[in-house]
Amino acid sequence: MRTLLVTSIIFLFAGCSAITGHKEALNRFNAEVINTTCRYDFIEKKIKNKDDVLLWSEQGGVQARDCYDYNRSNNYFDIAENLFKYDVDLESKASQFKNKTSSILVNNNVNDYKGNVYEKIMLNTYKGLNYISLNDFANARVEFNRALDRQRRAKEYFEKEIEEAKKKSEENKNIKIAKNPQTQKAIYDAYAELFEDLKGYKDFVNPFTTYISGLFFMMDKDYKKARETLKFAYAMDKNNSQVKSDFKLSENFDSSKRYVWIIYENGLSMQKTEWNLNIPLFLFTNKVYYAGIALPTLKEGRSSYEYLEVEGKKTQLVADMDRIIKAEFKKRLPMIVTEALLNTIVKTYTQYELNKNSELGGFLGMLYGAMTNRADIRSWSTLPKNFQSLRVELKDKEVVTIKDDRGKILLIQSVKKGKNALIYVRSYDRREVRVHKIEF
Amino acid sequence: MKKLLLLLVFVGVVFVGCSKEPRYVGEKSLEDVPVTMGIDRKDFERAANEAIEDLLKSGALDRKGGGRYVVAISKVVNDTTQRIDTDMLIKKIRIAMLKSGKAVITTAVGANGAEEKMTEEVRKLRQNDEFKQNTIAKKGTIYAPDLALSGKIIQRTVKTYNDEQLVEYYFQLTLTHLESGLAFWEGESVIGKLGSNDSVTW
Repeated sequence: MRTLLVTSIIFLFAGCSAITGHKEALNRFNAEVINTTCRYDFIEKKIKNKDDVLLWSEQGGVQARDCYDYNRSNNYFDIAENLFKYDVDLESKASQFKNKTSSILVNNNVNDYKGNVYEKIMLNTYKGLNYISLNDFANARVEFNRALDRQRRAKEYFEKEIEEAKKKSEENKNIKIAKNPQTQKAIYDAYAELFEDLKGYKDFVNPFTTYISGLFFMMDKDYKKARETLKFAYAMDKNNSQVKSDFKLSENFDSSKRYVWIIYENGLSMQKTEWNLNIPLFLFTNKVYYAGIALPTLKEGRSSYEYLEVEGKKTQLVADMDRIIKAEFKKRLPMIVTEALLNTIVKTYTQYELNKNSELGGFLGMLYGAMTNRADIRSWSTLPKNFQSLRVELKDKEVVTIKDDRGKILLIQSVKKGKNALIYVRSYDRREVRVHKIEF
Repeated sequence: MKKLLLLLVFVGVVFVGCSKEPRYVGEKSLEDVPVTMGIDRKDFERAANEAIEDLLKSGALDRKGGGRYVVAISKVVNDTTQRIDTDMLIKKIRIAMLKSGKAVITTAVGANGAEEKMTEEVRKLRQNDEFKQNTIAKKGTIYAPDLALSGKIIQRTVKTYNDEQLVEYYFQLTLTHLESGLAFWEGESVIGKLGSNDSVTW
């Protein structure tokens, strides 16, 4: 009874996200971004209402960047970065306890969004790119340095977070039931296909961040740092001839030659979605109870043009964002599963106790359990499926013709005499492209 | 009484043991506590003072046959994760150089163009009848710089064995003789801070 009371109180304060989840808001926003709606009412309202400010300021950062409003984009990313520091990294013990309790008694949708490590890395990478577009190389350098520092921290962050979550869940009296091998097997078997061919990047880095930072240092004529950074990027994938070629170039940059880099952000990354699994729970000795549990999983995103082409050369994959997202999801999954199991166990026990007292109580308990059986599917939904790159020598040409994967002319871009260029192409689907051109 | 003392000691140990407030690495006194893991005003002051003392002591500004050097301020690269204004470091050094009487700073030439745009602007008035032509700066009167001051601020961050974060800032400065291309003076100050590894240093 006490559990139900606590739950009801949390529920009342949490609002309806516990029942509805966040799917509709995420879908609506993605449609707005893809259709290049440069209206920020949706984002501004979310921020004003303090409704998952971290998530929506990240999304706003992408929307404004897509609309070439780099200052607005950086303002949104600054809000997200600040929250990552004070509300995530330095979250108070009291707030951690409150969130954990809400997760177990209601579901994680009622808690503020905490983001992923790859999001922190991408946030500073985009800020760096925005500053390049603003021709503010001093601030771009700071942002790329931050992105690289976040990569360094990624591995140790997971070690610490997982250790702390494990310790906390072990204090729960229902942990033994949650850890039952048959229950666990039923869940992890369901995820086997998703993780079948998964090869995450070492230490949770994003090779694109390292690569684009290296290119930036080259643009800023800091060839020593460019060399060091591109060397790291090359070490992440020794088979990548484009990264290798850029690393070689940084070793001996010939300023009498002119180059153009085509950076291509392709499609939409994997998105979280909810699925319901029927799992065996061993709540009472020798008695199996089957319960439905809502968990997040990942569904495929989509490619736009498979690649872009200049002078018969194709852009090459530098980083697969899907791989990065999947690897982090896999790492976090045990924490998510344990929390969801503890949540289901508590609700099932409560329903059982209520049922013993009255049928109505049992019905209400069941209703509550069914309504709040919702997985948290929030994530930064406007990231690309992958990042690609190509460098071609310009010689004395002042025009670059970029073709799509069917050989059709997609873009014709001019480059001033005597200048190099970075042509950054973003495409969510085959209907549209956005181009950020930087000459240097 | 004994129990109370024990309790106090315990509480003390708990609080001191958990303290991960930023602190300086090295010989700094305990009262001198940094406010952040980033670069603050005190750090700039310390780096600038060390550079000034070293520069003046080195004799690099003692011009043979007397007179003052003309120094141009070149690029100071901020290669850290902190959004800082490098002028906070350079301004103090400029003031000290001027006060020493051994150098003057030119604002007519700089890494990003002239710092003082008016030097050029007033010369544009030469054909303007509205201005008394004899009050306008004459041709060939701007001093070219003898020396250029450039620099870099570098950051190095590592996790320590006891799960803390060590951050070091290297303030590097170079004074180049522009005629010969030789560095007359180079200085480096290092500031190290230890603190919590829970979040980033910025």
